[in-house]
Amino acid sequence: MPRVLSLAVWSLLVVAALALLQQRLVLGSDMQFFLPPAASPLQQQALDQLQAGASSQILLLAIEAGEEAEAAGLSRALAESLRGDTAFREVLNRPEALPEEEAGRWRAYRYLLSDAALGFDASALQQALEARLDELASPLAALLREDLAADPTAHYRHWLATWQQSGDGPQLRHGVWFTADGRALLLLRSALPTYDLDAQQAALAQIHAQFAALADETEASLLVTGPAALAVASRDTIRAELQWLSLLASGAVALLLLWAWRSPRLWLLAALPLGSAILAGLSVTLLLFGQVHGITLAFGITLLGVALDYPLHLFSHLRPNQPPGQALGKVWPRLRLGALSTATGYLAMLGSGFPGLMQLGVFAASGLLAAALVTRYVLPQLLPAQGQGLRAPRGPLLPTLRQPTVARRQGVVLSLALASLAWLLLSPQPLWQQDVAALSPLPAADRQQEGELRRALGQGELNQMLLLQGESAEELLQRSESLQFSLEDWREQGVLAGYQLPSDYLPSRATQRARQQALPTTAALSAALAEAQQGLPFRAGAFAPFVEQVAASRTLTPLTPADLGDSLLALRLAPLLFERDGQWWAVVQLQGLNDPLPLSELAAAQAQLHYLDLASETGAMLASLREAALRWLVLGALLIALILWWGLGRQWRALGEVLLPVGAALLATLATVHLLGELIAIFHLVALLLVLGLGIDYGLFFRREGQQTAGPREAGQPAWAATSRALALCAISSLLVFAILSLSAMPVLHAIGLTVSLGVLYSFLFAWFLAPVADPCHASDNNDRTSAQP
Amino acid sequence: MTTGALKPLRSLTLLLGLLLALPSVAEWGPKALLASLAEAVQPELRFVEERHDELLGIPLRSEGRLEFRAPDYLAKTIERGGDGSFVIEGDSLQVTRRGELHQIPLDSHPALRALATALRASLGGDYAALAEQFALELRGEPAQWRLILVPHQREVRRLLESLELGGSDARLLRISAYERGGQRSVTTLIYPDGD
Repeated sequence: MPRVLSLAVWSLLVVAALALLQQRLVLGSDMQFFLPPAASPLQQQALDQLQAGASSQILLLAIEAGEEAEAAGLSRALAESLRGDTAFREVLNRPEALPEEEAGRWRAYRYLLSDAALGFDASALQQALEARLDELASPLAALLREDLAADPTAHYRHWLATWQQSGDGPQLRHGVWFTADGRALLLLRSALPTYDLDAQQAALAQIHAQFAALADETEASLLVTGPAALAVASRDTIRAELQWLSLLASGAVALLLLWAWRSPRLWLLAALPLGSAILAGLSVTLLLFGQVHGITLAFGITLLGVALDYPLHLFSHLRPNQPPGQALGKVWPRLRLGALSTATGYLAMLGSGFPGLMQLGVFAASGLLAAALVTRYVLPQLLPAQGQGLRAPRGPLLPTLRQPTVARRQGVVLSLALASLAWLLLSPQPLWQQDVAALSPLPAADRQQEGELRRALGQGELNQMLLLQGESAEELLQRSESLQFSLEDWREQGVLAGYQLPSDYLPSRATQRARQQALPTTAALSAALAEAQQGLPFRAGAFAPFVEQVAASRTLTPLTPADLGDSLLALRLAPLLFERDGQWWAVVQLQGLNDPLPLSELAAAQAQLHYLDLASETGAMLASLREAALRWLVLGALLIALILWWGLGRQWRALGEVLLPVGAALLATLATVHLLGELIAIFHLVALLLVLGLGIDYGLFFRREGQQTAGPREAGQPAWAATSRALALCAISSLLVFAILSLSAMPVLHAIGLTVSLGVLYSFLFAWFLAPVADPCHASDNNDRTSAQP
Repeated sequence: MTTGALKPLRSLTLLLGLLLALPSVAEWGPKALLASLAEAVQPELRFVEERHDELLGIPLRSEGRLEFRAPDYLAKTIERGGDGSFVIEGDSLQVTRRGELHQIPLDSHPALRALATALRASLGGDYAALAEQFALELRGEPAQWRLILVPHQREVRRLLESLELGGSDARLLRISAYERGGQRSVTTLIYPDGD
């Protein structure tokens, strides 16, 4: 009856979990989830800028074709077809021109928007007219004459020039942008959030499909890059790499287990605890958090590697013609203690307050407990009730160590641990990875390509900026205007190469009013104009449209951000001036900053003005994430120790025997990874959590078996053999999986693979090396093997 | 019947003459004309330009120098009646005015590309470049010809309705530009040999 009951409960839970996941599982891909919660509105701004800032929404396209003219044609056709796509806010392949209708709208406001005028008195006007006359005599006359009668002071042209930055753009050939090496360039601004990788991926696929249709049967090729394209590419690369690596690893482990047990039944059953663990982890996380992040899933499954060992312990103790309950009786107490303590350790991450780490803790802890319960209650029910047909498992039989004494061996391991710690603390090499870019899974060449195209398009990474915080758009525009003086000085001194102020696009209402009030009356303007025209060949009355439009400007209502609608001007202004949670923010973009000192000093001196360096800000966030992970790793370890101490009959000695090998292994692993030239990042720490879980089990099982071996010979030997085979199988299978993972060229997979492989190796070897000595007279069988051991 | 005997002979010579003349008649077209201009390219010329504009009470007259170096360098320097030098080279226009230098890509406006092409390709006799931007129509005869250039692109025609090159044999004498709204400018080229 209990057999039926436990199987029924398990099946019901599996079905319920599957139904829940089928209906509600959403895999999150928002990277912000794994960043620490913003500590201040300023940090929030930094995060927003990273995710949706002007420079993160850019896609850069380069078309290469046999002939430049062909590339130019493709550029035009591609731009045309993408302009209809709502995924892109803007598609540019040449300097943008304001749409005719919009140009007319802003032109009417030129005397409010622009400060080109020297004034409207006779001498200023004369100067302007002389300049216009020169233009008429130039080959450009046809182009420049258009606005001449209505705007002899060239206010409108001046306003356009302040925000079009035509100077540092790429070369134009055949009417479109080109790189110096002959590729046609396009610049797209995405309308999608950068972190919505699925939507971004669809948009990228759309670009490639359009291009393929246009470039059909030609040799032309298209390169798409930019933050979103790189993010999608890295997700794809990780997925593809994980897929074949895990296929390889599963194959290798499957072969190993088939070899060890020669039983397809055991081999299939071995997957149940891990499978149940993943289902449980997903369901519990989903129920508690409402979603499961993709990274939680990936890291969480890594941590659940411990669950793979549970059935191995059980199966290694099975004997032909003995009920599975006997084997269970031998392994369950230790397995239970190991699972409970490790799960508690993982749960400690709940205290971190980082959503990503909290999810990871819940996922791994619930998964581990589920795996232990399935091993305890479900697996034995599915094994032959009387052990019929089982064969003794194969596996390496480890010798028990007799020499040197346990105390000496403990001394050796302890000194190794101290040496590792000393290396970590005293090494001249930096310990932690500070550079976010180095964590990117993409080859450096891909990122370099992006940098090249960005430079070619004059769209540098806008990593430095000034942030203004205020109550209203008007207040911020006024403050933006007053910043211009300092910035212009600094530009002349070479502190920075350029800057973009929101007020370049739209002056404050106050400034617009002031300009309006400074406009002359019609009578005064006509008189000044007549005087200015003297001696110049312009016809009397030629500038009547100018006089009329200046008069009309005097009654215009100044423009505010709200008046801009969905114009190109609004599109330019939006990333520089916006409202968030009732606060207004203005962004001053800084280009080619050579010396941040004056800017940070200015920011320090003014309230509500901040200097923001995204690279150092994200570096700091990464560091705080890593520190939190480390802190909770240590705290988790303490909790684990507490539970172990209690579970081991409150004996400090016993606790020390279990913890010494794994503790030393953790330190030795970190030191070795660092010796190999790696900088420690968050991935390494997650990997150490797994090593901790695995190592505790090794310590528990070796210690117990060692003690038993020291007892009566008849009972001891088979138990030692079973345990040593089980642990060796566990260690070899973990090593196989993670050594294969460490072959990956991707930093994250390589880091986890290398760390876990080393950690497994060290904790296994240390635990075995420290297993309590077998009584010499009872364990004499092992003598020759012991002496053969190095 | 001398006349009677002569008549067929005269018709024959006329026919022969016609036959001989045919190839040259067939050849004389925009392409041949520009090829002959290309052969007679002058490295330096003076010009006088007159602009008729409704904003101006009197025509605006300017003078200066044109320098051309094959394949694509053209400099126009205004020496009197205006100010500035304009160098078209490759895909950009370099403007120097009142000591300030500006670099403008020719493709920043289609009309700029068209104007630059009209000037550079007609002085250099580059048929292909002209035909890419304009529809060409040749009128008159070799001794006194006019080549009418109508921009292909509507965006260009919005500013520049047409251009007219005038000349005699392999010599370009005049470039007239007809802008929208009735403005026009006429550039007369003066050759160093005084022709």
